[in-house]
Amino acid sequence: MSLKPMLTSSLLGIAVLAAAPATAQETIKVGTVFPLTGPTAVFGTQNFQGVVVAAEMINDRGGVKGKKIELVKADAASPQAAIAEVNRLITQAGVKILVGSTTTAVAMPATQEAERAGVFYWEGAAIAEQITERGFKYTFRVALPAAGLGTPAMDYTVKVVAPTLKRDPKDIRVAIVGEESSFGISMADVNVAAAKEAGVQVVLRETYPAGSKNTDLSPLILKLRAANPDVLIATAFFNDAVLLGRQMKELRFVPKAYIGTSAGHSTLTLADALGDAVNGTFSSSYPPDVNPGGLTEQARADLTEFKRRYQEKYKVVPSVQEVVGFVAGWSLFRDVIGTAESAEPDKLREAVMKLDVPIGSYINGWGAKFDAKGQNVRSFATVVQWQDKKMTVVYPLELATAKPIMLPAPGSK
Amino acid sequence: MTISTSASATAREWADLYWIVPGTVACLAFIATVRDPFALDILVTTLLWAAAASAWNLSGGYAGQLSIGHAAYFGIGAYTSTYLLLIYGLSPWIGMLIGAALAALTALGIGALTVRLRGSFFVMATLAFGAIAHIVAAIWRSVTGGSNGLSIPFEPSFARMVFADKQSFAILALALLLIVVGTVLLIERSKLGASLVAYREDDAAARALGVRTLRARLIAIMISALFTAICGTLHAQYTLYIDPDSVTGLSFSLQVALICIVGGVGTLSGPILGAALIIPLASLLRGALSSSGSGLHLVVYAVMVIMVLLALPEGIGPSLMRRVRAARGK
Amino acid sequence: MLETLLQLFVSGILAGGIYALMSVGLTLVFGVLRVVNFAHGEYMMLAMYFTFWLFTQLSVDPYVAILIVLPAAWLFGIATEWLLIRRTLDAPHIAQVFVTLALSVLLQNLALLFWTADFRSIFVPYASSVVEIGPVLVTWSRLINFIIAIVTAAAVGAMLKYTYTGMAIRATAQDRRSARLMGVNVDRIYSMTFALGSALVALAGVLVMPLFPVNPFSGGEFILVAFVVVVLGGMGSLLGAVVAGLAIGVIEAFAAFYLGSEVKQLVYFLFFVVVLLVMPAGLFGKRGAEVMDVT
Repeated sequence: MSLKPMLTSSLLGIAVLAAAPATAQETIKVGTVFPLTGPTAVFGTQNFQGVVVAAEMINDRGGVKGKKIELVKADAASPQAAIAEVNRLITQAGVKILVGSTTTAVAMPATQEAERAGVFYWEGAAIAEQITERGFKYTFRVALPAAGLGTPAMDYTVKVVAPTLKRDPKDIRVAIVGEESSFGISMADVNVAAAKEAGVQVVLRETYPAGSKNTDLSPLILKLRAANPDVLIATAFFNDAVLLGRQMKELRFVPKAYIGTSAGHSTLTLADALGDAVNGTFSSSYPPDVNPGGLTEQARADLTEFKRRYQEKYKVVPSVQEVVGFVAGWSLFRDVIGTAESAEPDKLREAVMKLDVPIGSYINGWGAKFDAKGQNVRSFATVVQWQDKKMTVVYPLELATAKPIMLPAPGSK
Repeated sequence: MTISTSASATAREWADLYWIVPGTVACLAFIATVRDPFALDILVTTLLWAAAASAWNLSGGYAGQLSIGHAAYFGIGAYTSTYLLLIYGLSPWIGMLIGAALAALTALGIGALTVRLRGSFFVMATLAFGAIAHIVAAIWRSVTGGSNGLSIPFEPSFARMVFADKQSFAILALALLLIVVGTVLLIERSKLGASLVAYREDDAAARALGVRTLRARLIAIMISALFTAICGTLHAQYTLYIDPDSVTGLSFSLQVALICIVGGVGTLSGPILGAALIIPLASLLRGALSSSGSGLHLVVYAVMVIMVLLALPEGIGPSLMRRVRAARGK
Repeated sequence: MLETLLQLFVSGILAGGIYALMSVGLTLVFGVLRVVNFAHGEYMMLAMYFTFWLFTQLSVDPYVAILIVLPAAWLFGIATEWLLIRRTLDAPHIAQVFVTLALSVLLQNLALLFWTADFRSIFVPYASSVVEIGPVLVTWSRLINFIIAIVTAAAVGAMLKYTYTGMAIRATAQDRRSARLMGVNVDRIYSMTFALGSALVALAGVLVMPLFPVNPFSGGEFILVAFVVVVLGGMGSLLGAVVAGLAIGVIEAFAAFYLGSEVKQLVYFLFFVVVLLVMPAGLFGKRGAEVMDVT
């Protein structure tokens, strides 16, 4: 393939030859498999745009081993669409590397099809434990499984909230509520299990329908008021996080600590929707702005550049989901493709298994080291708190940028 | 496939073979020659939708009982065979039949309950049953896995109805479609078919003439549900992952009806024409336009569907037939 | 305990008021044009976006925005009726229904294309202020929405009953051929009714904007309940839509509290099915009226 330009260059002389690698048209194609239409498009788009910025950033820094990353975009809004799109990317676009998928319903069939075709699949934010439990050779997840993303809510309850309230964790009453979705159910399950382990009492567990079908959550809040928990752990999409926040205030239900689990509670515009009432709310979450002290110098520079580029390109401030998307793209491009002998799935797999990127090397504080199942063990969740209408990391302590405030929440009984 | 062999069989009764045989041959030729998984995926999906739409057509088209709740039957089929496979290791070939039987019984129940409903009231009652199925699928976690869904391990074997290549599945989907079409063809030519059309056109008059329209409707909806459930099993075995939204969602019920309406309701070829247009169109538009702005492919798709519905309100099949007849000068 | 019961009842009634307002336009369009409009929710979504932009770009208060959004929705209704609905009135009924379904896909994805999938919400401090009525806490904005919904439904009802246009609309609903013979401009009535239906659901959209965020898909999710309400009330019946809307709101509230939020919709769907079994034409529908809309 490179024979012809080489011949031409040698004829044209050394100056042109030196410039040849930069002008070579060869690219590394990476297919993106995210839901960009339909009800899950919100987070799918945010993840996707993070990957786009990662690709642009690495290309502007000279690409990967002199080659540019070329993203081929797909729209996987349902399991069936995921299958069709993965096959299209593989056979029509000739893609051998895929990155996705945001939701379980997309990730499960998409990774399945990729595995069958022997194509490399780099999973970002889909959380179902099963994704890496099927013994797939080419599927790797850089972000967290459900337990990793959800349990910090309970850890925080036991390790910070209980001592602050001067109570034994066994005397702490929690309520666990969430939306009816793969995400909501998984988060509730992990927290119920973690509560059991820590001996924390679960006084209410309730699931409500997902999406904009909820026009009134006051019956749920009345139930919460009756159950009188010290800590409320809630998994909500954006719309129900807003509704819950507003109606809790209206019906004067104030738990001592209110902890979301990412998603709606870690969306920047929550502050626009709730105003000052957002302050004090916690969320166990992919890390947004971590303490720069916990990042390598390179990661700090990457973070600044990412934020600037994202805002310039999309006119919005990037947050949790965008950062996860970026880290998925960045780790894939720079560290996997960048260290692999070639961009073939087998070589990429070898490169992944050899990865040893220290904690703090990515913009959210993560590193990369994979276990035999293909799960990154150097990703972790943090607990953030809304302070002055901004998400601030308060846990784990080494990455915290501030101490928790409003604990117990003013007005709680 | 068998065909009515009554002595009065005329050329007109055999007319459908003129497209069924070449269509089957064309599909087989496609399966034998094409190796591209993307193209084969479109074929499998189209065949499955064509089968589901043909099944829908029995009650929705011939009997005129517009249902937007068929996802309930699709879901029963998908969940029954998958649950039995995952928990008891029962082959989906058997699970499929159990699911079909359950769906037919459910349809009998729903059919009996909605007997008195007409027009939009019937439509909305089916919507409610579909919504109930969706909610049950989401909350009955011990069986359905709830919103986390159920995933079938990819272990190719005939007994598990999992195939390493897409060709085998395409043949299976084609066989199912032929069985459904054959059944519809038989019904169309039977007394049952005549009773269904009589009910659709004028129930009171039909009953006055002694046609047992109620019995006909119930049989039609049961057969319709039965085949829809089998499509559900095949869908589960093909995607190897099911969740409440993908197999009991309103979008399935609406899509299956849309396919019939675009192709021509109450005709044998309508659902197949509809599926052959709608499914590849959706896949190809998504492929061609998903690199542009999000949603653009669905914008174009919706505009094209609107144009087809406005230009050919009776569906592609009947509208074309009329033009052909007009051209021949009758 | 009594306090909880009262609170649940009030919350349910207030939510039901919004359901009623979403449904009034739908039932009107159905009664007159005999078209089940699947794109009804998308009109609401568009109105919510319009309110959002007016608020964020021009600082227009949502209650003031009614004066701008409603006329716009009216015009949009006229335009779609002329462009699409009118062209399907002679087509088989199911073709009409699925044209509106395709329209809903179109509008959702146009919104996605132009405004992204992000949720938009507005923060109006007074929207969350609460008034105490005895032991019951009532959110001001929900109370005002409820009053506007009921007053609007009553006004539309009075218009239908007492004005010439209203009588023409009712005549068209009963028998379009005879109405035409009596000198009613049926095309104009269709156009007006559809515009009125759009404006009514747009009103619901404006009113809920301070309560709920909007994204391109929320209209379709909000509106599902309106289809149930319209049929439950008896298609074409305004009073039916209001009563059924309130009933579903209350059922949902009690079901969520006593049986669990997870099954609140299951309960109202079951209720809906049971009512239809007993009263096949809905609560206020006339037996036999439904036969006119042959599918």
